[in-house]
Amino acid sequence: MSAKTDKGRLTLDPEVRIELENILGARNITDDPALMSGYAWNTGVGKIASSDKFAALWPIAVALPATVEEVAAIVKCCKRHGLSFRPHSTGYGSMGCVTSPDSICIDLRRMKHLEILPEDRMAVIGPYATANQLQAEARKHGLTCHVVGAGPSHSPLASATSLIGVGITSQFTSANMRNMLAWEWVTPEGDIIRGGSAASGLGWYASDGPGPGTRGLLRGFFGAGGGLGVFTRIGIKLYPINQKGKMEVIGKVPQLRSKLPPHTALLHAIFPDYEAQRAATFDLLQDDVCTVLLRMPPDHIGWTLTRTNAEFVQRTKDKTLPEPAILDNGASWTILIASRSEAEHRWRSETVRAIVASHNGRFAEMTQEEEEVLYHNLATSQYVPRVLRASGGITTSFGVLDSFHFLPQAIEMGEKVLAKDTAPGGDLCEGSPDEQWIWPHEGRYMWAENIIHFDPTSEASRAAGARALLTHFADQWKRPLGTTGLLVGPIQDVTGPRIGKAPAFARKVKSYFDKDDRSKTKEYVIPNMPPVVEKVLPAFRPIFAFKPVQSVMAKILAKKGM
Amino acid sequence: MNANSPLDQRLAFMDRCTRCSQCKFVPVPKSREHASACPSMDYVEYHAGSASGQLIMASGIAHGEISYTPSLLETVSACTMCGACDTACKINFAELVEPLEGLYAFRARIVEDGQSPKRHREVMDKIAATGNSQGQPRAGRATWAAGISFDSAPKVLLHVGSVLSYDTNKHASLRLIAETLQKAGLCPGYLGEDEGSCGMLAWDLGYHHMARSLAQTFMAQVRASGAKTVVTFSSSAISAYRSIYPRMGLDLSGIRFLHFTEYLLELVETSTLALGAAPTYDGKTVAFHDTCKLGRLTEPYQETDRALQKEMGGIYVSRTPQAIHFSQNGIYEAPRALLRLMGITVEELERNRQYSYCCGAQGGVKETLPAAAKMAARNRLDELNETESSTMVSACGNCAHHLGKHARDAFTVVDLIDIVATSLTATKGGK
Repeated sequence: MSAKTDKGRLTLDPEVRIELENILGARNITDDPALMSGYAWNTGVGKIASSDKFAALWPIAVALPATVEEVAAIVKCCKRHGLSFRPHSTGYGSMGCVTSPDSICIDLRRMKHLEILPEDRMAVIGPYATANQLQAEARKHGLTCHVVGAGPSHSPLASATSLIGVGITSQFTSANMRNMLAWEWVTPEGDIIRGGSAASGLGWYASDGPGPGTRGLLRGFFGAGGGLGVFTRIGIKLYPINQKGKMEVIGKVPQLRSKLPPHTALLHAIFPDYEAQRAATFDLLQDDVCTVLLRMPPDHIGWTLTRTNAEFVQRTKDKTLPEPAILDNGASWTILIASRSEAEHRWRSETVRAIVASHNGRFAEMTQEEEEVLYHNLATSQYVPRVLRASGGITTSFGVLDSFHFLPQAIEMGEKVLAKDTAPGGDLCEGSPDEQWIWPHEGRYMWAENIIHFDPTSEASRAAGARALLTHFADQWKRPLGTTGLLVGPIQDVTGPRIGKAPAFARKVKSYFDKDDRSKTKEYVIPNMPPVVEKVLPAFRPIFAFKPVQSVMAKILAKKGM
Repeated sequence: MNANSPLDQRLAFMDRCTRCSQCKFVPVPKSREHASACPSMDYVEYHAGSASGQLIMASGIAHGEISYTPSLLETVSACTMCGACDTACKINFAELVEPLEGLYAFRARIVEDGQSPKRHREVMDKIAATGNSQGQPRAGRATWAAGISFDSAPKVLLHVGSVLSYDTNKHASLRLIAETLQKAGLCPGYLGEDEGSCGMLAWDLGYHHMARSLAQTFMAQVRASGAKTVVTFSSSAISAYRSIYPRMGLDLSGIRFLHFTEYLLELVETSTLALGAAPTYDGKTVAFHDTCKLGRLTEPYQETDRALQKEMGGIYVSRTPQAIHFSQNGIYEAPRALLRLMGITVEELERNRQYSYCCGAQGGVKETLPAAAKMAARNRLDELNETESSTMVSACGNCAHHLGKHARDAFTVVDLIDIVATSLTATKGGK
């Protein structure tokens, strides 16, 4: 690996190619720029829909292994030749792009293992068993899986091992950072390790096997983002639902709907303010009566309930959007109640109605068709990626993990960052004063994620998006609100004491398993950082939080993207 | 950049691809085995095989990030242009990306740049020389109709298409239908050896000028015949008439285009023809294969201003949202209705109607990459495993032939025309 292309990209050494061909077969390794272009498409913040979307760094080759042994052999080959690598599952947006010029992209597309173990309420999956496939198979047994915000085509293995894992049904499907059971892992050294019960040959049932529990070590909350080897198989939790069999879809493209199963209700509760919503939330969670609770910002509900942007804009102007999509009705929960018997359903429904009423809430009127669209969306997360429909440009603030005590504060922060620019004439796309998606996780903590929605073709709008993102971090430092879910890379180190020694510990993990930093990513800790730098970085926090500095950084991001 | 180039006109749409991978899957799969929407992705495996991957490659060509390579051309050749990606993408992205329009533009650009794959060029040479992609002599095109006299000033013009014209196994069925129509007093016309390619394959391969020329020739023939209704036995042709010709600025006014399944159903419903129980299939259950061309790709195209404008601070809005294709209004019901009328129970495959999985017969893949076409057919046939049926019926001669060629074990594939032909009779009150 020494030559460079006319684009200044490193090329694959013929000797390495021969080795990789011997491992994979010639068809499953490529360094053809055309075939690799799909692995260099960066849809990150500030990226303009143009040639700008091509990443500066391209892989030197893309490999398509089919087995864990092949993955291990590729990793060892990289090590022998001083190359880096980056695992890649479905590759949503920029998440699969390589982050060093000497990286081989390991596309796990051919590793699609999917096996349902219904009695154990779990599945054993490979990296390219996608959520829509897993859900389809699980439903045959009256089970479902957690589907993260990336939508049905994401890889549950990737989210469970390596990247956050939050999704709208978290109240009853937990979240993928808690859904991984036993695992199979190719370390950055190329060793194959099985952990949890799989390590003892006892199947994939438990994450804890012989020795210490390692889930936190391997991923923690955020995950190593591909910076800690390659995960090739895991056990993953499934959750029972009140319907067995295929999901019947009605409606026409694009407004797919599903009929609510027996003993199921979809309600949309609207509260007078966020304090009332908070109080009601505690009661709803305490009585454990809701299967799913989801707060979407009103304009996003509008996107969900309309076929096209044109319809959304027209109905916004005509003021004909249904109640849940009206901006003033932001203090709200979409509630799914899925029961197993008439009696249970009656009790849960009456309890929900009583709680909502006791907090001066009311229920929005919706047509059956609107209910069925929202139900379909809740069950499949199909429309969550629809947030990209409006302008094609979004980023997300952070995810707040905190008590529901902080719900009004999360909204307030969201408004502070967005309200001015989402109002008509502002620099961002028009929308709700805040754009928080909120839901509970296992009846306990609150996830709140403020979607920043900008026009990628406008520099002013991109700058406003970047400014909003940076303001979020600064506000978090100033007035802490839970753990920031997207705290990653250098931001972790700048945040410093707010999260204790977590980055330093994660760095030790990374350095221990990957001494040469072959498993490259920007979505993990910075490896091998000298202790003095580690100590100094938090001191830069006030500088980064200083508004003029943020403004300059936002302008740079608006020009260059990230 | 050339503002008149189809690719440059679609570039902004392509560049909005978020690489979400939803174009690879049917929107709500019923099983893991049949979750894929994309035969090309199934064959190629690299992301380049998907619609998203092709749009990114097209963008790379347009922006000068990549050059043409043999792998690029082979990958593009694996795409059947079946449009399943378009349906899947639009679930969330509606007018924002429209993958199929991008794929059409990419293929046109490849031809413009003189990079069309050798096999595609060979196919086009055959179409130019003989009017069909197989290179069969024109003289043999009408042998199925030997002895049948057609009306020289018909109300209805029959179009048979290249596949059925040269498939001698279909000639008996074609004759039976034509004779039954005549017995019913309908007296259709037929172009005989003068019938040429409808232009659909030329369009799919990116030869848009050639496609337009073929369409012009055909429309001139239609006008000259005086017919006001064209009935085609070809799913490619009905797709071309409804979805491609309107893009070409041709005068289609006053002409009604029907697929033979629609036409026969109409005649049965108006009691001009009668459809009895199917001799071999009465009381049996079959699975129906929705041909891409007959289904989602027959949605009528409306030539209009398709540009997007921004509203509300950057939200993209189509100027003519009513013209956005959502795979609706394809021909889904007519063939099913005919089967039911013949006493046959129709069982749905997991991927049906607008979510149908392409069998690999279209888009030039069969001719260019037989292995890819075979894999698609096998994938499609495997779907029978999830049904009670061992018989798959298609209303497209091309699909039926291709699927039949690759059917294994106890599975059989039947062309709907063969079932209908023997069950159709003229009623006494026929016109």
